Amino acid sequence: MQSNLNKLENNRVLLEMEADPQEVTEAFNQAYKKMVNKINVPGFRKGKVPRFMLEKQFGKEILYQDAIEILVSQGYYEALIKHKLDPVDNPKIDFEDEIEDGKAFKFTAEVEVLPEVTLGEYKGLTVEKDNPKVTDEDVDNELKLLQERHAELVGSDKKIVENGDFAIIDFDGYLDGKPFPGGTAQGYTVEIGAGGFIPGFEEGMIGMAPGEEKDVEVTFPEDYHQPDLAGKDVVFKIKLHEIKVKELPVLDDEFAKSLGRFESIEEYKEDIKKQIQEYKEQEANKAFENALVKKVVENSSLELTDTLIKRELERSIHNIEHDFAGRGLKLEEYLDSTNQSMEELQEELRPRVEENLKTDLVLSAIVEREGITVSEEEINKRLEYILQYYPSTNKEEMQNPSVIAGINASLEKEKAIKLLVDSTKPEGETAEIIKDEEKVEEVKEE
Amino acid sequence: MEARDIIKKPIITEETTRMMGDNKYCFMVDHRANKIQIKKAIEEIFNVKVTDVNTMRVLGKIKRMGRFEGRRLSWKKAIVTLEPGSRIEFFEGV
Repeated sequence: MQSNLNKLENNRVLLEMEADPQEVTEAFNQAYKKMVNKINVPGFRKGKVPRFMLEKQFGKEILYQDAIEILVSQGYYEALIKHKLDPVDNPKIDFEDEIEDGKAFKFTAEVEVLPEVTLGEYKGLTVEKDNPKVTDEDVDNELKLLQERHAELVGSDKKIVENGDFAIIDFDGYLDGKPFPGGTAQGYTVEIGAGGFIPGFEEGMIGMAPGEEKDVEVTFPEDYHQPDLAGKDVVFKIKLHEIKVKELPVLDDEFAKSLGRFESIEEYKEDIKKQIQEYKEQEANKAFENALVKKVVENSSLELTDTLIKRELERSIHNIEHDFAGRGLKLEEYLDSTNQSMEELQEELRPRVEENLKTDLVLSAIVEREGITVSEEEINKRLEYILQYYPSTNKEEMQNPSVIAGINASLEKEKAIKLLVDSTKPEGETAEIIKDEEKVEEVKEE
Repeated sequence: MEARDIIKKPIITEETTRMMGDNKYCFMVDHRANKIQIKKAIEEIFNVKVTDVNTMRVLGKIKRMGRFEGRRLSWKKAIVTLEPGSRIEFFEGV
């Protein structure tokens, strides 16, 4: 099979291919084998009709279509590999002469390929990098959150309910003098002022004393989720049992010890500081990487075509759909609820999709230019790593070519990014780029 | 009898296609025809030389529809051997 590559405009290429006579004969034989199993001729068992009988009964043309399909798909893929093409859509196949057994067969395929990337400067760029510092304030905030989480409700001898207290109550709700379903509870804990109830309910209890009973009149909001209650006036008979207040733990060595691992509160603060520092550094690194990649993309020139963008859009919408399905939602329902049409969603996604596409293309251009390769060992390591997070998937299932190819591609890209980062002087306070292993280990969603 | 009355139709099955490789062709013929008539008829119709004719009577199968018994038509089969170099093309011009 011979093939010639002609470049056309708009990232399109025209492949001219010619199959030699032996290949054509071979294709005919294959087409016959395929056809013979489908055809019934009286006097012959299925699949036993000799080829000359088949051709005489149904005409020679019966094998043409299959033979052409076999030749075209084989030739087309060979040509793609030979010329290192990445098609974007389906090829347009064309041929002038009818196919004939034992004669060479010429055909052409026109297809759009990924745009060529002209890489600009991508090594030794200067990009600003934040050098994060952890302030005492950050640590304090973290500690406060922790205090809240470890807070306990304790009984209090307060005389009346105030904002921020917790009230233990029984309540019976009456709609038009009759109890309604779901309007009754015993021993219920309400945080006053937290807004967990319908407006007016919590406020109505302010000033009550333990043991006191009180009727509170409230109106359900118009958009209440139960339509038969929405907008209705109801009366709640409330009995207050007890007032509780939230007690925050004191931040001392005792508290630090109760968390395990730590001897003193100072030690614990150090740990928090370290964690925040690590987190911020990671963020800064990520931001640095993103800015760097963005700059490299800006330096390069490439043109996206509509077909390509459309394909990517479809893919990302498909991903969203899949995502929704995983959470038991339907994309159509979501669009309905947000009053968005499919076209609007596409418009919304478009800039991001274009950006991602460009980044991907530029990175793969770098991968090619730098001769970056990924070893089988690395792929396996990554696969093991991913599998940790999906205990239910077995290894064999993951070992199909498309998954491997996906892992390969993402590893290549990570290496390309690493190469960019390594060759770059970050600007800003002499920040050292942390080339931590963890970052490389990070699983990126493909 | 005319030649085309004697030779009714060729029998084409897996078995007879295999026999064509030995230059033997199989026909359904009029049950009254004898080997000599068949030979002449084949030579006339297909313009070939026949060296041998074997014939046999094929009895119609007995078929039943409930309690009624019937029989399919019986017929005569002729296997004709041609001289080396002769050939018969079926389905000419299809």
